[in-house]
Amino acid sequence: MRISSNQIFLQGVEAFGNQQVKIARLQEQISTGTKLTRPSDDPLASTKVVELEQLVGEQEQYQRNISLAEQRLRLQEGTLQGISNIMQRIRELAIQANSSANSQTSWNAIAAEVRERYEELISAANTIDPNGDFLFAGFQNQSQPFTQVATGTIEHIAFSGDEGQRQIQVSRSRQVNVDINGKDLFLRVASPLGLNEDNTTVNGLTIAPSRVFDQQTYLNQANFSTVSAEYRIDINFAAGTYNVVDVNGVDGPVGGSVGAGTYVAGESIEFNGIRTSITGTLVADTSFTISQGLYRDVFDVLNGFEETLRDSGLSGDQKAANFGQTLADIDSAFGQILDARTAIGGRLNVLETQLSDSEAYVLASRDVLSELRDTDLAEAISQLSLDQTILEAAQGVFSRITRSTLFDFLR
Amino acid sequence: MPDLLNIGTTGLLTYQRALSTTSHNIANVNTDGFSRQRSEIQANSPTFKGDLIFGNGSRVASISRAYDNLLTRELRDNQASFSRAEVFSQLASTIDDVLADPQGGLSPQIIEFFAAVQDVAEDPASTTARNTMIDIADVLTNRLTNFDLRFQNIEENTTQQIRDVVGEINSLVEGIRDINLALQDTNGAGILTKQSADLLDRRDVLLTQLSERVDITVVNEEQNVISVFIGNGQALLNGNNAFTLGTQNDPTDPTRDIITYSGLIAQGDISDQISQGELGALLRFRDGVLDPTRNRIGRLAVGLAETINAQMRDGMDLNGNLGTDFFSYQAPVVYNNLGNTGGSVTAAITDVTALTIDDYSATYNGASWPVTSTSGTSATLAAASGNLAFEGITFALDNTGAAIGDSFTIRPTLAATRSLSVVMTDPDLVAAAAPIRTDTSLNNLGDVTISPGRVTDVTNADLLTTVTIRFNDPPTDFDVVGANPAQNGVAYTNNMTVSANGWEITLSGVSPQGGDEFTIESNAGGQGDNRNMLLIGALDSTNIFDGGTATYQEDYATAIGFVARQTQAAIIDSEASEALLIQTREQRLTVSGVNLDEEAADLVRYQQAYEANARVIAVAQTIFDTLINSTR
Repeated sequence: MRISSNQIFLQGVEAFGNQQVKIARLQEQISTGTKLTRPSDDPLASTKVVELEQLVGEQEQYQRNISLAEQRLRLQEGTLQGISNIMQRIRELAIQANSSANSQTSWNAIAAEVRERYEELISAANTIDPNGDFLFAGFQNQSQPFTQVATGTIEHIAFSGDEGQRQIQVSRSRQVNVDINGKDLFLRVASPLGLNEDNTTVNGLTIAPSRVFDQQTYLNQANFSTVSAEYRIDINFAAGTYNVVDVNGVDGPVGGSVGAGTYVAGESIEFNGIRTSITGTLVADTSFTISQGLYRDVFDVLNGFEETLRDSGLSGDQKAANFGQTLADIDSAFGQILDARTAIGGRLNVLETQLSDSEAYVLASRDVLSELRDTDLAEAISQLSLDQTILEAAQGVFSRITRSTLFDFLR
Repeated sequence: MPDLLNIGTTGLLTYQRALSTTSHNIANVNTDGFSRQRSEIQANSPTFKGDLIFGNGSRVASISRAYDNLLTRELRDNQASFSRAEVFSQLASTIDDVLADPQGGLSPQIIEFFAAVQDVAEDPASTTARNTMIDIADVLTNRLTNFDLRFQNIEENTTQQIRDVVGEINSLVEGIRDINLALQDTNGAGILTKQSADLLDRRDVLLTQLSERVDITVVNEEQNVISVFIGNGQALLNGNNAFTLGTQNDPTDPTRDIITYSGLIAQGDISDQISQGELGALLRFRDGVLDPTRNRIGRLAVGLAETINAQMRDGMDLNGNLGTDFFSYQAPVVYNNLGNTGGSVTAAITDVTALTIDDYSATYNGASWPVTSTSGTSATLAAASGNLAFEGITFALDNTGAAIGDSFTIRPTLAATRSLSVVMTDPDLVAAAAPIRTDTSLNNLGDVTISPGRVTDVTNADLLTTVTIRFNDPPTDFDVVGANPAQNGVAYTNNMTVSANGWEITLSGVSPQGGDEFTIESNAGGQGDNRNMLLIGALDSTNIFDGGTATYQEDYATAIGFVARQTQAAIIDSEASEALLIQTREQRLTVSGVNLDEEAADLVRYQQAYEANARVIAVAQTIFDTLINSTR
């Protein structure tokens, strides 16, 4: 076989070139720590890396969501603990009040503390989270949900929030509720004293949330256990009077009158142990209907308690009955608080499980990512020294081969 | 009778020439494409004297070159494949680098954007979170714009290179023609005077250079003249006539060039017939890698815009208004082909899930409009004008003034990447809330509950009207007060869905009571509601593209994978064809290359022969002297 002089040089140069490319690639892999310096190094691994990184990013976001959700739930738990404490104190006051040993003076003293606790409870119901959002307002969390108002003689709480509950994404398929429904918590205290007004505003007149001020009278009506109470207050424009009609005959004949008087805007209207108040200027004949409901709100329970304490017109028995019901209603409110705290506990458990799942997932994904992407240093460095040895050998061979030529011997 | 002197002189001359050939070889040891030459030494014709035959010395009959035609042709072919593979891999690597840049790639930006979305969901009333989401979306769109700028640069470069290569091809062909002409030079007696080995070598070099640029077929003609053909047999050089290639704007797409050929017979666009060499690589890269990748990234931009906009419109902003578009992008690009007499075409993207990465052409055929995609699918509007919905695009085709054959090129996603931008600047307008909320009356005596509700048709004019669901007495049915059209006396079943005014809710519970009421109302003021933001956040993991089989990131990964595979294949191809090319080069060198030791030996050999011949002359002189002296 023939060989031309150029071939010797070309082969040598080519060998050096190839070897140097290999060494440069290894150097890049070692110095950057990644063997995937560009997608074409390994198309399959590169696509996998993009997808895995997105999944890891997603999981890390979920972990952040979880930690924020946890903070929020802990704040709620703390607030609920505070509310429980208030309710506990009120319960003690109710027990203390429910004793014939009390004089009106001592009842008044208890009433003063109830008022304090009442204000405290409203403030707790309007708790703001670190973001400045009202905790128990539902979706409309930028405005105060519970405000004190008075309609006529009745002091009550107006709720301007809603039932909306915020969810937080804690995994691709799972959302966790991070809101406590303030409406359920504060406004749905199951009680036999619950009263509903069908329409609160008619012909420009407004009726206050009615309240049972004497439960002994209210519950002891003739047919109370067989029919539900329902009363219609008819206001006569021409005569300027009102007449309360017993719609279901809970106390006597169906349609019988249980109370009547002159309509004075903003004054109390009392019948069968119920007190209500209507405000506004009379312009036409107007009717309101009050019927037996399922719930009182917790503020109403406290208001009623305070009223009973201060009301010197009630007999000892009547007061005792009211205090007994107050205790029952407070326990019912405790039930609501407990429900909420149980729900929070359950959610915190879910978050914890999700967090550990997510962390395990991220850990596993990072392992795979590292396998796909990171340089195996031991392997790369031993490969580097092998390639260097080959290069040196090639250089040595080249210099020996090119050293001798026939011309050297031509003298 | 031949004498010693004459014979010695022929020998001297012969070896002088042989030595000069050897030194020519040595001088050209590093000349590219040089074939070593050999002096073919022959004995001169003998002289007949009676019955005796005397030799007349020697001469150099010809200078031949060590040459293998087959190897030369293989070298050209391998050179064409190697240049294609090498240029292609270099070009594909540029896109490879753009897509995968860990800082400059798209993937981290998409992750960050959806993290910002989740942050808004976490605290929907926060202006900071909303502003951050808009800012990060801006970064995302800027990244896409940068992408497209780089794609545009690559495209412009490609176009410029195509023009350059075509120019080089034309001048190489001229050079080859000039050698062809020189080879045919004759002297006055009609004898070819320039059939030189060096000229032939020079022409082979030019042919190899031509092969670097485009795949050619070489045909040998008489007198060592050659013809060169490309594509489907278009002659670039026909003996002494050279024909030129040219570039011009594609009549169907002004952003790109086509390769035109102007010869004796064939005319027109031959872009599709060129597959090898730099030119083949440039064309194949443009059509096979750059365009699909640009279109895919464009589709990703369209997908982001369309899906997020649609969800944003389904929500409610902080001001209590229905959501508006978050992103905007430029509608599909339509090119009115050169030579059209009229007609007009516009296109709009209507369904991202059905959208492909193809471009389309619509041609008016006199009665209808067939629309064909670059991957071969087609649909026809069976009317002279109207709308055609095809592969997620609605084409508005109008034949006003159009002649038969007028056609339009539609590139649906081309402009999206560069034009994607955030149009929402007011953070309050980010529609984090759902448009409706539901409420259960505190007066209810039954146990029925209402779900938070879901919007099914945000365009319903009555969507935000307050609607009350009120149970009748007996509570076996209920009225939906405020529903348009009215719904009264709807029979109640547990877990039933009630739909009205573009929303739907679920009622659950076994014992409704007469007079129980539920309200569905506008969520104005619901600033703490994040329901719509959660839905936007869920888009990140929603399968959207290709008929609902790929998420944003998966689609992007597909783009990376596609380019990476093309690049990897090209690199492997270029390494393989380089090995082949080197092998062929070495084989050629084995045959044609100069070996200095061999030449040194020849030098010694010819020098010794030269000295011997000189001795012959000296002997002749001695003989002559002897003769002269003997007669003195």
